[in-house]
Amino acid sequence: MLHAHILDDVRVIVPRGHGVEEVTSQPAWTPFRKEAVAFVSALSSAILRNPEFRNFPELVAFAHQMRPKKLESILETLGRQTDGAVIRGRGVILHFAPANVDTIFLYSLILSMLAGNANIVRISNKKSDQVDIILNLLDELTRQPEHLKMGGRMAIVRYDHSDAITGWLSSIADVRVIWGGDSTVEAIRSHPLRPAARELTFPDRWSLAVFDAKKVEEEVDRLAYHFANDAYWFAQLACSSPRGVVWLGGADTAARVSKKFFDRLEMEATRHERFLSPSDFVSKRLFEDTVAAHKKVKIRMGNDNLVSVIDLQGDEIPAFDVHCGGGLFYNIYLDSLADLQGILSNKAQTIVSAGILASEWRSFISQPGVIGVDRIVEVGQALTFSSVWDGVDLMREFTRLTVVDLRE
Amino acid sequence: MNREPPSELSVYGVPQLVKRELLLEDLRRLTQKHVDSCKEYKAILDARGWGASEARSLEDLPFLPVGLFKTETLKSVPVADIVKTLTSSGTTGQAVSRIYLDKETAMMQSRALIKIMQNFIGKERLPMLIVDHPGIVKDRNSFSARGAGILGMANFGRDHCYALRDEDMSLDEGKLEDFLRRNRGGKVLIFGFTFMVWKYFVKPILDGGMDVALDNAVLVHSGGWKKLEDEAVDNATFKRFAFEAAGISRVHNFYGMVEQVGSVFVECSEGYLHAPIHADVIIRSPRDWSALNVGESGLIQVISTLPHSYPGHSLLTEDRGMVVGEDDCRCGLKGRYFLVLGRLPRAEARGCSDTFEAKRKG
Repeated sequence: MLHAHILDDVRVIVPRGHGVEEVTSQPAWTPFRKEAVAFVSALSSAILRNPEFRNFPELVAFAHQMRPKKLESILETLGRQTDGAVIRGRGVILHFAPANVDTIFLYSLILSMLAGNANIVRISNKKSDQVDIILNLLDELTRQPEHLKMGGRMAIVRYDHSDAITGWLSSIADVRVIWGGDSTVEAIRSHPLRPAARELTFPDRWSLAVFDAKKVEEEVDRLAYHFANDAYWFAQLACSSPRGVVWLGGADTAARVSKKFFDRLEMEATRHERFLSPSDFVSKRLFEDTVAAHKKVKIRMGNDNLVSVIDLQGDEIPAFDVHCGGGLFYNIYLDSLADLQGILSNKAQTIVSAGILASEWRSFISQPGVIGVDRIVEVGQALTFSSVWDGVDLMREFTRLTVVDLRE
Repeated sequence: MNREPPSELSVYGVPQLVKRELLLEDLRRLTQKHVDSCKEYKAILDARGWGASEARSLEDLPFLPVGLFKTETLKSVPVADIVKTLTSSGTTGQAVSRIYLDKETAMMQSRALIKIMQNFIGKERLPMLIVDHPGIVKDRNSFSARGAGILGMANFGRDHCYALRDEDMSLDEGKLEDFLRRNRGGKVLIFGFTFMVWKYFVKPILDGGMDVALDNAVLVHSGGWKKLEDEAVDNATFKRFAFEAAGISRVHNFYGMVEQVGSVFVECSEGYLHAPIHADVIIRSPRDWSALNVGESGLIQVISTLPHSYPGHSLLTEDRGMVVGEDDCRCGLKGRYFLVLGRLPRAEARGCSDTFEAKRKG
């Protein structure tokens, strides 16, 4: 058989030594079968118990969201939305994980597992402590007698770039999920899916913060504390990491509050210094000068390189889709929320908001001509994963409905 | 402007305090010149709120990150005046720096190089063994940074002999023996890139048990230690094996970069790199860019009074280094002397955008 050779170069990391093929023969289950829930709960409590994980706040956050209580609410939502239809998983889900936002592959895998699917996850070859410890934990779990069944329904794999392998995996998947940049999506798209198979893509996105200067003036300290979490986890390189702060209100007030805010952020950023390395500081310096060579800007001089702020002058609009990460923020003053339309694009994903009411956002987003924006959240919640991501309800996408329309 | 090449003063004879004053004056003028003639440079300095009069010391001078020359076209002369464009050696697929030289800057560059090298190899042109293959300099329209480096150094020798074969970089023993026979016991110059000298010259001679006597040779090499670090070969090891292989006892590494004309820092007999009269290094903390003291390691900033045609007189490199001292090196040369501690490690790729980091291979 041809594919037997193709798969020789696939290394199954979890459960170590297993094959990929056995996963492909697993039937879909109904969502939240007790084996799946038990596995996810065990994973969640193992992360919360193990002190090793305290250095990885995003994994702890993941574990909190996957506690049994929280799972129940996901299930309830799913049931409410489906109006009595029978819900089942779709079959075999193939996930392509991004190189280093480790929690993304976990969320994708776990939600799909709960939905009742068998899963193959291709992770990057890049080694990191964080990935290693989570992979080891998953591997251990799949070896425990009570989780053997779940182990047989998943394969986390690594392989060097190979069209043959990606092609074969794509040919057997019922749903293909691509987390990664535009070029990754494009590359994987060249491999056909089966006619009935579906695809979810999560291409390049960017995010920003919008604050009402007057309303937040008294709480910049609190704001800076939470914003530091939003911005510095993953060294500001996740799609949901805010790349700029937009201040609404008169320029004088806004300038004053902005200064207070970024001064305070310098202090808060020190808590996250481990996410940054000297080469990030060099990249930021290079990025600042590249921007300055082409746009009218002022580069603020901070006390150190943890927080870098580029003030846009006049009507300059930043190119949010190109960014260096590492704690570099565009600072923008707008008169009102309506002016935000001019800087959004369909790549805009998350807005962390403060001092602006939900109703104001609802009416703004409903305006014709406002494009992009998948979520508007409280400061501190930018990286909180939700089962609705980039506007896609993952649980819905990972399941199929069978309508039973009979008179009783 | 600093029209005169640095010939009046000896290249390594000026004490640091005097040198700093000379450099500061020239570099302030150069900064103003580039502000006046390069609009991107002016825009960057404006964005940082920098005024030319502010520099009270060398450490106050503005600097550009060396990587900027990969993405931006930065020049301070009209296109018509450009006589030479230098490009950096980059790994395949990476952007390369482009450096634009006018006649004046190109001339100052070669004069400075002569002044510097004469200190280490003397004024006489020596028979020269080049540890590379002749093909590297054949196509003059498109030769690599390595080819350009070789041509630059070739001026210091005569009767050039390229020691490696075009086909596979193997050592051409016949050519080497001819060269040795012609110059038996005489003083010769050997030049090559550090990694080439190690892999295709020193090692094959040792491994093959060849009898090569180059006791009277001066070996000059450059290009960085990255590949040798992977093989755990440091400068001391390199020198020891060069001596074991061919009796070479005078070895001078030098540190420099295409992006800054005139910054050629040659290793002295004590093993330290020395700044010539028209250039210097400042070590900066990556955390806040503050200038660090002697003995502290950080990022190397290089400054040079030679780049007139493009704003490259003050550059922040991506190399780590440490100033060892000033004016008191046991080799007798004045000014700052320092060590290069390797390249800044690249941050791991993070973020959502690179599932297929191995795509390059495929």
